[in-house]
Amino acid sequence: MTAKQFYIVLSIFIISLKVQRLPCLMCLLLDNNTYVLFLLYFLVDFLCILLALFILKILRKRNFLLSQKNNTMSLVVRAGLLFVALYFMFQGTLFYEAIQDLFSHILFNNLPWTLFSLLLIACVFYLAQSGIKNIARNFELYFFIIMISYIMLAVFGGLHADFSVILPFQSIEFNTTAKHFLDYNIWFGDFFIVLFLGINAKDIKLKWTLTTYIVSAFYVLLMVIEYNGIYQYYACMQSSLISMISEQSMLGIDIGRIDWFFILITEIGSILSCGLCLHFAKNCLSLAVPKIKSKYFLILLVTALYLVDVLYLVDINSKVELFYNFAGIFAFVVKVISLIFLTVASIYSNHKIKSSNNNQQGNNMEVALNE
Amino acid sequence: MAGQKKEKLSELISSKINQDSQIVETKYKIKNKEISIFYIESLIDKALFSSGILAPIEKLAKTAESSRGLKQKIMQEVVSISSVTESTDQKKILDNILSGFAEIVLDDAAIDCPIFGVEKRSVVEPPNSKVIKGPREGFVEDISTNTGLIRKRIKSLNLRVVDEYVGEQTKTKISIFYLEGIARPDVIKNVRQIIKKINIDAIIDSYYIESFLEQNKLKFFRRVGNTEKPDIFCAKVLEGRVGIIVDGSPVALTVPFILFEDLQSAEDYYTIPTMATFTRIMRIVGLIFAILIPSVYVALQSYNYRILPINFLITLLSSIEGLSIPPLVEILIVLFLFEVITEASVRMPNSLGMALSIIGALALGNTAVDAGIISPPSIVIVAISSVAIYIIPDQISETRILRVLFTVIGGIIGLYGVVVAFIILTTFLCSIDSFGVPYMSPIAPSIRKDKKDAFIKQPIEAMKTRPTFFADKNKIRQGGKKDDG
Repeated sequence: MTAKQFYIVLSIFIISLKVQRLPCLMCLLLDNNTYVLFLLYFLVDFLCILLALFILKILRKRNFLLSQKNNTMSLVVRAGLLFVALYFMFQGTLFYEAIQDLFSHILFNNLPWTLFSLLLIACVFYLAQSGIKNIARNFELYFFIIMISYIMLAVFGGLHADFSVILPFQSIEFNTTAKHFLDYNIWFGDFFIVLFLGINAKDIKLKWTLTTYIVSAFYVLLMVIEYNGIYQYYACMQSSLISMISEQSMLGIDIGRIDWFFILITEIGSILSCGLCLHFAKNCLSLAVPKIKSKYFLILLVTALYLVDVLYLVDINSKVELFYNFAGIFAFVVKVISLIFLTVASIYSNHKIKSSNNNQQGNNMEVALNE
Repeated sequence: MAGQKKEKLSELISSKINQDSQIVETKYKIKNKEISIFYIESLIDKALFSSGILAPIEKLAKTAESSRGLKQKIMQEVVSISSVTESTDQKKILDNILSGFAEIVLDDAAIDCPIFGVEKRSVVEPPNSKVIKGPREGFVEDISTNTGLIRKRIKSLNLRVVDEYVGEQTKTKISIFYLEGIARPDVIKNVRQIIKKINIDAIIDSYYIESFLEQNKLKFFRRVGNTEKPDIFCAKVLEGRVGIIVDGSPVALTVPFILFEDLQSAEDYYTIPTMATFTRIMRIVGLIFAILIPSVYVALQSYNYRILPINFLITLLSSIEGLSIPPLVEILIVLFLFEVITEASVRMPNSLGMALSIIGALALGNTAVDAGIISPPSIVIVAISSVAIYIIPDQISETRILRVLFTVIGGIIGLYGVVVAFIILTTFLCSIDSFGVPYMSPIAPSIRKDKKDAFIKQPIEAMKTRPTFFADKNKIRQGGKKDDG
């Protein structure tokens, strides 16, 4: 995976996860303060990404996930990997559920999803199975049209948005916003994706990683503000930001709903991201249990995804909420523990590397002096 | 002893060829020695044979004073043919006779005289690769002529030509061309190994070799380039590719191959870059149109009609009014009719072409519309798609199959299916490679230097390096060190 692919995947992943159902859910509790919570999450994630880049730097020098003696992993690491796999599975489900919602309820009139979902499952399976290199190439191939579509949708939305909804700043309810900080964290925690993509990428630069993150975050914030600006108090009644943002601009213009083409193209990003999540989940599982072939894990994961989608998440209004709550708590625990574990391990490893370098230098000096 | 051997060799050859009435054996006696000349009349240059071999030997038979050192004398003084060699191996002698040599057998050896002279097609512009600007020469079926056309363009000692003979019965000559120091050694080795391993009775055309070089079971999206033009062949070899020429075929092969090569045209390099860029974009749009337009039309009509502008929707609805069959079936019928007409027109004699056009276009099209079996928009859609298919002639087979597949998906699942199926297609394209070169390069993976010859064509002076994946060490095209070779 090249550095360019890393930035592309990162930007599409961040945007496509957050501009679908999340703003609608947040608006239910936070109204026009939604963007503040987004901002808060982005700030926390920004700091975590800095930490993730530090961890990556150490990881390149010394892979502390593998123990030195038997080249096998400790039970703690195995358990950690299983939880991370589940985390990625949850994120994949979020993407999948958003795609399902868009295709079966918004763009189509009640598509028989139980049957038609199989095509998406096949696509996601093929993507996850084809490996990170091919997924990254796919992202790269579609990057230009996906970004054009996002920009066009932002422009369409901007034409009808009342940006003054964020004013006055004094009206921001920080207490209410902070109270809901943990509720939506399954959608955030982008440092995880930075970490996992970063392991596979070559020569990623701190400056460009942060720039990518800031630009993507800025775009998401803009879309959220536009969305609030268009629908205001009705924002919570819609089911997806990306499908609704351009609707108002298309009314009264006799060009049909050409924005649907842009929405469809942006969904390519979601499908690819879903495949990426499953790929990471599969990798974590096969690292934790190397005896079983990764292909079997993938079959298990997509089967689970399909069953969860058609049996559990089919009722998008009630059971999905439960899923979000559970996944939110789970994601928070996994993220905090992983981050602490990886940071401590990195600092320890860094210390070890430095001390071994010092010893080496000392030995070299001794040899030089003896000579 | 020598006499026994001589008898054995000429007799052995005679016994091997006695079943073949085409092989002629002419005997001469020079003093006490008997010599036999074997040849196939239809394979040799008769004038050269008569003036360069027969006449001098007849003269020698009359004037020779002794038979001492006869073989050397014939080789050096009598036969006026260049590159005469000596063979003792019976199998090689027989192969030579079958390849258009005249074999003069005396004692225990034979003198090989290459006088191959079958009538061959002259070098003309290939009908499938016509250009308005640029060279008009095309490859022919004769490998030596083709080699000459290449050598004429690349006058470098670094140009290596390796010959292999493949086919148990045909023993077809295959020449592998590459530039030493520019082509990747792993690709050269791989190509040679594949060609050496081929164990087949006959190689009739270069497609046989192409099929072995593909190395994928699916054989969908070809991974071996082919061209009928020596200028394109040379340009590709100069970029670091390995070229393969097969005797008896006017189509030369090149590896590695990327999808983008099909979007390029010879003329792109002989016209202004802006025009080349414009035509390339048209080709890409045309390719996407060819594959997707029927499926999008069916999907819009079946499921997603709300996308369409209201006025257009009204027009569309009025034209399909009264149609009893679903849009998917309707468009499949039109596609089927088009495929049938295409197949028939390819195989039909030229004189019947006009009649077929009238039957196809007027009788079938108009009558079907009038009868309410199909609607005019369906014909327009399939016509646009069918014209667009021919914008990239080398991908016709794949495009035709994909078009039908996507139409079925679009008709059953709508735009959702088209989008998902397109992702599956691009994932497949991103996952394949040709001799280690990603099939979708230089777009995915993106290589900035190589993009100078991708969507936006840069002027020749801007293309200072060879494509990253093709060339080995010497990647500099312009401004590098001058090479003696």
